Amino acid sequence: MSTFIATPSKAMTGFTLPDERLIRKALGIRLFEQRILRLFSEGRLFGTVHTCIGQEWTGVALAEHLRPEDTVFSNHRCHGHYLARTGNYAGLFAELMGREGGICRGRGGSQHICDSNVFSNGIQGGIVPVAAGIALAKKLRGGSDISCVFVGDGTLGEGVLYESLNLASLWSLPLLLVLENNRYAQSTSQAQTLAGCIDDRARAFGIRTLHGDTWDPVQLIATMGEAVDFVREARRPLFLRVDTDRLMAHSKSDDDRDPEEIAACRERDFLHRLQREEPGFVQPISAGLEAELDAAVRQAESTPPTDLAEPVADEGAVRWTLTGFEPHERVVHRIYAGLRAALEENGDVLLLGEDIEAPYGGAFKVTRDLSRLFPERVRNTPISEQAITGLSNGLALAGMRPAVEIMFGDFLLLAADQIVNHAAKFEFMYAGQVKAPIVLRTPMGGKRGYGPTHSQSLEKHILGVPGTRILALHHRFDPAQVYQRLLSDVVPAMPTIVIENKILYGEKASPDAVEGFRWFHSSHDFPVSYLRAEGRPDLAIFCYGGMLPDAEKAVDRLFAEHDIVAEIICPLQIYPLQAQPMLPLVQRSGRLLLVEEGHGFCGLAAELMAGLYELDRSLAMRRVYSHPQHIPSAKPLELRLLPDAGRIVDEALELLR
Amino acid sequence: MTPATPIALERENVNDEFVTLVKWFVGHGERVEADALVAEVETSKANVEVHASVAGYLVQAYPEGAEVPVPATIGQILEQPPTSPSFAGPIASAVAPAPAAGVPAPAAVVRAPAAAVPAASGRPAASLPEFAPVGEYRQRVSPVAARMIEAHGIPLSAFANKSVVRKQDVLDHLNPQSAPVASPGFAGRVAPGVARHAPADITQPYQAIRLSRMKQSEGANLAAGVGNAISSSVTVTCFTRGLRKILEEQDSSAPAVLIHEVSRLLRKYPSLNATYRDGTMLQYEEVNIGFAMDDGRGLKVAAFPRCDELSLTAITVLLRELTVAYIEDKLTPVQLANATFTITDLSGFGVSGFQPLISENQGAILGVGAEQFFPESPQGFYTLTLTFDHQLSNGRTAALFLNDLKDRLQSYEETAGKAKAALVCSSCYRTAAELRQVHHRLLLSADGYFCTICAQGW
Repeated sequence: MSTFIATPSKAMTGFTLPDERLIRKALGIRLFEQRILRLFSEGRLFGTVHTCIGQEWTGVALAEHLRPEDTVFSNHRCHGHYLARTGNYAGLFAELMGREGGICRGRGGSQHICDSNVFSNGIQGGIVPVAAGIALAKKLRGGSDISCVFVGDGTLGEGVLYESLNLASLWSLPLLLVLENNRYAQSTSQAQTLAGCIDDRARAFGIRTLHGDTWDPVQLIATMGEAVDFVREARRPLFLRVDTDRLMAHSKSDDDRDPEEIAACRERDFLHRLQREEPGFVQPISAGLEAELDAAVRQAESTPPTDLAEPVADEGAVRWTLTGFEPHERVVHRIYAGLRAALEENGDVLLLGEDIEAPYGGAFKVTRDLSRLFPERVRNTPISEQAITGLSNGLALAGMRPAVEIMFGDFLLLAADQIVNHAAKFEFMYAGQVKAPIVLRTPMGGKRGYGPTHSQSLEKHILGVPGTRILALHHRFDPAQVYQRLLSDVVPAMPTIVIENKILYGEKASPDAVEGFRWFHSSHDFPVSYLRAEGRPDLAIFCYGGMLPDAEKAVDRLFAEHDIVAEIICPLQIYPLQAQPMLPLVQRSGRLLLVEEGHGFCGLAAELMAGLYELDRSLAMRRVYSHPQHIPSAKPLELRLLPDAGRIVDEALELLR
Repeated sequence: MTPATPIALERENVNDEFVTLVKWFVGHGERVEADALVAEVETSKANVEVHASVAGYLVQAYPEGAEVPVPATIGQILEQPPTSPSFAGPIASAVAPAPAAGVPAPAAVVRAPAAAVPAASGRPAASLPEFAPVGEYRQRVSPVAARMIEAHGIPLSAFANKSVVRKQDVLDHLNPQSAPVASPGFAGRVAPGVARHAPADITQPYQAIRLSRMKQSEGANLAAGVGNAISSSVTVTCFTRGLRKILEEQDSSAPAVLIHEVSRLLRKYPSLNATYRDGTMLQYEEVNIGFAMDDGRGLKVAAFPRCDELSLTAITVLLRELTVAYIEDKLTPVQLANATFTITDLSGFGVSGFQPLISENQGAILGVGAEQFFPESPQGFYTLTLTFDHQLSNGRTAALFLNDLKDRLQSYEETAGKAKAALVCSSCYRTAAELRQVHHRLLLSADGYFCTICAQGW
C-alpha cells in the first residue's frame, strides 16, 4: 500500500513522516477530544468520556487497511477508532450530547457506538467473544472480510478474553485483536496487575503476534497492514500489541500518575513533537480542523435532546383457542424436532453448546444426531459459557440465528454479562440499528438428585431485563412449535432464554387435559395456557414450566378428594409476563394460588401477585415455593423442599379456608 | 265471584326485596272509601302510606309486622264483604293489578342507580373470551356430587352447562334461590376492611334487640359505601362571625347555601360526584345532592336532584318542603333516592367536627360542624370535613374542594353581612363605638379596617 508516503521536506529527526492526510486524521481526533473536554467543562455534555489522546494512531492505522465490510468492535475508549474510520464529528458530538442527531440517537453516548460497521461497548472483555462471533459469521459466509477488536492491557485481567482466544484459534476465525498497551488499568499500574509476558498469552493459544507502537506511526501503519493482510488471507486470528501512552486521565480528574512520567510521555508523543518541530506545518491544519469542529458542534446542537421513553408494548387483544398438536412424543423429542425443523428451514441457524454433538448428543440428549445431519452448523464448544454466549451475540449481530445450549441452568449466571450487558442492550443502545435474536436453551430445576449446583431454578435472577424474553417450556404447548417460531422471522427478533425443565424432558407432550377440563391457549406468540372447567371454579392455580405436572395432579386430587374445582393458568412466556389476560381468568373465582419451584423471595410468583393486586385488590392469593435453603442431593430431603402436588393441594385448601 | 281490586306494592328501590307492613288502618272485611288511608308500610328509605284506589271491603293478606316480598299485593278491595279469613297469604293475582291501586307514589319504579351510570367499557373482567361449548368437554362428577345426585334422583342433564360437577353445584340445583350470582369471593364483593371472618363470640350477657328495617338498611348502605371505598378525610376550619345567623336573617339558611355551593363545586371536582367499580370511576352525569336529616325520627337523606341547575331560592324552597315532609313523615321514596353526594350537618347538636361515612354508590360526603365562638368574641369557627374515596380522589383534590367551598361561604358571609356590618377592627373586632370610648379609632388599610390599638401593637 502506498497510503503513507513520506514527505521529504517535513522529515523529523529520526522519523519518516506519514502522509499529511493521515496527520490531519490523527490531529482531528485529538482536537475533537480536546473539544469534548471543553464542552464538558462548559456543561454542554452529560456523563463521562474516556479520551484516547496519545493513542490516536492505532485507530488511524487500522482504518487505513480496512474495507467497508470489515467490522471493528471497540471498547470504552472508542472515539478515535470510530472517527478514524468515519470522520463523523457531528454525529459523535450529538451522541455525546445526548441528542437525536447522534449516531445512536443519544442512547449509547461515549462508550456505546454503532455506525458504519464500528461497534463499541463499555464492558471490558465481553466484546471479544462478540467480535469473534462476527468473525465466525464472516468465515461461514465465505469471502475475505475480517473482524477486529480493540482491547486495552487492563482487559488482560478478564477471563472471557482467554475463552475467546481459545475459540478464535481453535476454530480459525478471521479475528484481529489489537491490544493498546498504555500500561494502566484506569489508575492501576500494569506492575500491579500483570504476570508474565503479554504476547505469550496469545501465543499460548497458537495465535501469531505482532508488535508496534504509536510513537512511530509509519512503522505502526505498516505493521497494521501486515496484520490485516494476514487475517484476511490466512483466515486465522492475529494478536497485535501496540505500545502507547494515554496522555490524559482514564476518564476525567482521575489521574494520579507521576507528572514527570506524563511529561516524558508527552515528549515522545508524535503529534506533540510535530507541533514543536514543525509548527508552520501543523498550524494551518489545526486551524482548518478547529473550524470543521465548530461547524460539527453547531450541527450537533441543532438537533433536539433525546427525550422519548420507549412505549410499553401493548399486550393486545386476546383470543383463546384449542391448539392441538401431534401428541404423545416426549418433550425431549419435540425439542429435537423443533430444532431440526429450524435447521432445515433456515441455513442461518446454528447450534452451539458443550457436548451437543453426536454420538453424545447433549447432556439431556436433546440434539442427538443433529451434528451428523448439519455438520458445520451443530458444534461442540469448550466449557466457556460466557464466550459461547458472546460468540452467539456476534453471530446474531451479523445476521445469523444461533441457539446455544447451556448444559445446566445453574451455569446461566456464567453467561449473565453477555445476556444483560450485551444481548439485552444492543438493540436499544444502538438505536434499533441491530437486533440480537440469540436463543439460549437451558435445563432448570430439581427432583433429579443432582445436588446444590445442578438443580436450581435460577430464572428469577435474569427475569425482568428489558429487551429480553424468557420462556418456560411445558408439555401442553408443543415445544417444537416454540423453537420453530423462535428461530424464524414470525416472532419479534430478540434475545430469548428458554427454560427447559429437566423433569419435563421425559413427559409426553400432548394437549391432554385433566378429565372434565380442557386446555386453551391465548393468541400470543408464546401463549398463556389455560386449563378451564365449564362451571364455577373455586380457585385458579398459576404455575409455569416444571411445576405444571404437579399442578395438574393437584387439580385432579382437589376435585376427586376435596370436591374443589381448580383451573390452571400456565404462561409459556414468563417475561415479559402477560398479566392482563390472566386477570379475568383469576376473577372467575377471585382466588389464585401461585406456584413456583424456585425460592419465593423476589420471585415470579411474588411479582405476578403484586401485579394482579394492583389490578384488582379484592383477589385472595397465596404462594407455594421452595423451602428457602439449598437443594441437597439426598432424595427425601430434596423432594420435601421442592413444591409438589401434595403441597399444592394443601395450600389450595388453606387458600379456600 | 266478586270483582277484586288488588292493593299492590311496587318495588320502589333496588335495595328492598321485602317491606314491612307496619299498620293496617282498616280492619279485615271493613268498609273503606276511595282514597282513604288503608295501611302503612316501611321500606328501607321511608314509611309509605297506602291508600285505597276504590271504595269497597278490605281483605288483608298479611298481618301487621309481616315482611312482604315486593312487588306484592298486600290485600284486596272487594265490592262485597269477604267471606274468607284474613292473612291468607300471598294473593294469586287473578285480576290484572289496577294501575291506580297501590302506593300513592309515582307509578314509575325507582330507577336503580347502577342503571343510571354509563356502562363500564373495556374492563378486562367484563369481557371474558368465548370458550368452547361444554359439549366438547368430558363431564366429570365429583364423588360427593355423584352420591348426592343419586340420592336426590337428579337427572344429569340438570348440569348440562358444567364440565365439572361437585357438591355446591348440586346444592345450587336443589336450592336455586341460594345460588350465588357470582362466585364467592369475587372481585369487589367482599369489602376490604370488612372482616371476612365471623366475629368472635360474645362473653357478656346481653339482650338482643332487632334493629328496625330502616336501621338495618341504613347500616347495609353504609357498609356497602365503606366497603367499596377507601375512605380518607380532610378537614378545614372556617372562621365566621355567625354565618348561620346572617343567612337566616337574609331569609336563607346555611344548608341551602351549602347545597347550592357544593352542587356548583361538584362540577369542578367530578371525582367527588362519582363512585368506584372494579378499577373504574363511574362519574355521575347529574349532581344530586343528598341532605341528611335526623331530628330523632330516623336518619333520612333527602335528595336534591340536579341541584346544580337550581337557583339558591329554588333550593331554599325545596329544602323547606323536604324538611316539612320529613317532620310530617311524608317523604316519598323518590324524594330519598338517587343522591350522588351527601351533605350531613350535625351543627344542630353542637358537634364541632366528625368524620362521616360514604354512602353506597357515592364517592364522597361532606360533614358540617356547628359554629363555635370564642368567649366574649363575635369571632368563631366551624369545620368542614370531607370524607372521600381515595380510589377516586386524593387529599389534594379534597383540600382544594374544601378551600373553594370555604372561600365561597366566606364570601357569602361578607356579602350578606356587609349590609348590616358595623365598622369593626378586622383584627380585634372592636367596633368603632367601643373604640371611641377608649379614645381610639379605626384606620382603613388595604385589608380592611384596623384599630389604632392593634396598629400600635405591631
